[in-house]
Amino acid sequence: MERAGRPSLSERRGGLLAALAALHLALVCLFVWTDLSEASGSPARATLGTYKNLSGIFRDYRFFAPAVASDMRAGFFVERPDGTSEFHSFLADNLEVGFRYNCIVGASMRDEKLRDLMAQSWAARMLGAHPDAARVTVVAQSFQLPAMRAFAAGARPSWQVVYAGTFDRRRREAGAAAGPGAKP
Amino acid sequence: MSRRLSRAIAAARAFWLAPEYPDAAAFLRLAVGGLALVQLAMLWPHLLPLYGNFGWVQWAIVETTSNTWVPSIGKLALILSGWGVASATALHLVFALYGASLIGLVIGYRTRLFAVLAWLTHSVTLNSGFFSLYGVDTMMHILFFYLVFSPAGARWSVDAYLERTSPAPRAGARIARRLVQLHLCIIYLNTGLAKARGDQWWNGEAIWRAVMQPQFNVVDFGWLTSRPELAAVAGWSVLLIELGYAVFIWIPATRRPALAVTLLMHAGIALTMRLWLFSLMMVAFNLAAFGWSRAAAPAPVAGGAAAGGVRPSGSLGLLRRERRRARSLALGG
Repeated sequence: MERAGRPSLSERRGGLLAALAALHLALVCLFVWTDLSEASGSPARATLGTYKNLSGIFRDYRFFAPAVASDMRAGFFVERPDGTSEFHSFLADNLEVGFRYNCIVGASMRDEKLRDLMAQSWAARMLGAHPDAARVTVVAQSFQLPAMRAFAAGARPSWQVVYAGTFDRRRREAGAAAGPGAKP
Repeated sequence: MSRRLSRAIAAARAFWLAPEYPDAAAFLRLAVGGLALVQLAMLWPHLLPLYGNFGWVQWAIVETTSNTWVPSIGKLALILSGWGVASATALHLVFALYGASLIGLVIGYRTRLFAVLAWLTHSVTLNSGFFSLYGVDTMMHILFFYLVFSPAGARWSVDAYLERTSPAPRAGARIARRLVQLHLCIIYLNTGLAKARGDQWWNGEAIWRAVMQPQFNVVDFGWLTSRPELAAVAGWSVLLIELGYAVFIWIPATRRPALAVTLLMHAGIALTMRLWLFSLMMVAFNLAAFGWSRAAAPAPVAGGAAAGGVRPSGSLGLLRRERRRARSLALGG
């Protein structure tokens, strides 16, 4: 294995692979601790963004940090032309699917710019699943958990409406969103 | 100065290139492939609402929010529509290919090919369901990426049974494991530093909030308010484990305790928050990185640094047999 003088071909190959591995880890650090590749524009940045996606560095690793976010939940009031309505929750019995639904609701409703767009997407799905429905009202709520001291003093958790919007089948594009905080 | 430099080069060579057995990579292949198959089985009946064109997040939204050149199921479906393939069929084809690649990966048949396929198809599914991702998907993808470059099929695989690959120690196994180890340290440091910036992790409110969120709530932790110091200690423990990981895991005397408390932390996450898949994935990540043996290489690398020297903690008999075999191969070659 050991040669006096020049390293063997396999050693040089190993050295190259190790150098590439170190470069990859340096990129991981840059992606995680800087906003490199976040800015759009140049092809170099787009290439970095693609590398980020392919190598699994598409997100940082700040799970539950710096603070634990409040749960969000969503539901739908499906209304028929005769005035009757029924409620469907955006939940799943399957644990793994349930976590994913929670991620969708959380990512959609915590971003005020996205709320309407995502609510329209959900309403379209509900209208598709209920051909007899005339309109759908999307409601999203945020879990309000009191601090430990307040809980000990008697305060209890509650759900606060953060979004409510009604979407009509015939005027779907109008999507009359009632706006944050409004109740259906 | 030159002696210091040559010592540093020798140490770097030993760190990155000392040959080691590919057991850790093979373990990672079995663990990640197995967990991914379990996850796929759970998600399969729900693929249309999660990833479909008219699912909860329609493809039009996915495409406008995507900032990568990685293809999505929507783009593939658009191409396949030219052959009359419906979008739902295209979606199931992508996941069927992903599932087939996972089976190939787990049994270790044409391991490299199926590792590449699993990684690429997983990339496509991630890029198509970005809104629904959580920690387990991130970790899984990191590990798929590393499996592509590691000698994961060299042990406990069809490829090994058919002698398409050798289970002998090699530098590639060492490089792959170093990547996994260092990436894991970055992960814990990143999350630890971010947590340390928040008050909730210092006063116990983070633990309280985590176990009381309805989606994670298993049992009523309301009693915690009568012992808030327990929540605070749990929060400090998480900070210590995550911030200390990158230091204590490299010190031989503290490696085992550091690994043990980290695994306990993930067991706690699984039990109290029901994040089973994520926790198992992190356990596999940790075991592949630091829980496996660093068996001594039969021959030292150039520079005189011998590999490992740490007593194997895995299946001792197997490792000893393999070492004997590797030695005879090295002597013969």
